[in-house]
Amino acid sequence: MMEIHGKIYVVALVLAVIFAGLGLFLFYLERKISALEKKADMLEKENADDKK
Amino acid sequence: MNKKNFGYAWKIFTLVIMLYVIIGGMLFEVPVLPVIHQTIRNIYFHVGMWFSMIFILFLGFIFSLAYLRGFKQKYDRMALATVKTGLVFGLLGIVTGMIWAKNTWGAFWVNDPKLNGAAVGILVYLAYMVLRASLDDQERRARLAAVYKIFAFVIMFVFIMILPRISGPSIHPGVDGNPALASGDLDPMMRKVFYPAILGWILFSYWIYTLVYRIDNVTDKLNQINANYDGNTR
Repeated sequence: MMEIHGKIYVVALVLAVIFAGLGLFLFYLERKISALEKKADMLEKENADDKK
Repeated sequence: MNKKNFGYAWKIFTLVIMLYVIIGGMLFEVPVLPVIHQTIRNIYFHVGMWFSMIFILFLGFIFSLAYLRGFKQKYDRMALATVKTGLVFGLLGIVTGMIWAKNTWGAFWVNDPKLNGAAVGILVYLAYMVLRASLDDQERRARLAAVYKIFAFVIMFVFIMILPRISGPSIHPGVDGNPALASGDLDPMMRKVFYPAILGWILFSYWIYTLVYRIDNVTDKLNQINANYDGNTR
């Protein structure tokens, strides 16, 4: 147990920060995708209106 | 809790679990075993890849069945997204396994039922992508792909979970028992990280799957709008 505590907690923290960062990045991507979805829906509706 | 809040809540829950798994997985006590030593911690991460892959591909199996019931294009898209996501997790499972194998057995690959089974399981799904790419007609492609994928899931499951257990001795840990879930196989001190790890990875892979599906979906939609637009101006 002692041997593994040779500052391994630093690595654990680094990994945690990286994973948290990637997680937040996923939220950012989600917002981008949501915006695209909204735009596509709007365009689709406009197209449908044009055809009438 | 409304729908939007729930959508955020489970993702934040996923991230919290994964942070616990990373920190606990690195720091909590593990049994001391010869040869393996600290690499036993890989079980929290490497095995998580396979649980995620099988969970996502099981979802895909359900979507393919759903497609064949009503031929709704939505289910075909969802099925495709599960394969894309599942393949990523499967390949990560193979690569993480190879790194561990090199440091434990001295070779990246050994001729073992578990390893070869995993490789075949992944190839079956790569063939699904090839099958899709070789068909142009959307409805035909969706129908054939769905039928193929239903069999693909069964074959993959047999190759990864069943054949390695009945085809004699294996060098891979846990093949002769049920290391993940049976109470006797996994050391109790590892369970408090291992169970959350499995849950966390499955939720995380599902999250990725939803993103893949939404990107495919919106891309298709925009392409369609584009095509219609060209049609109108001509």
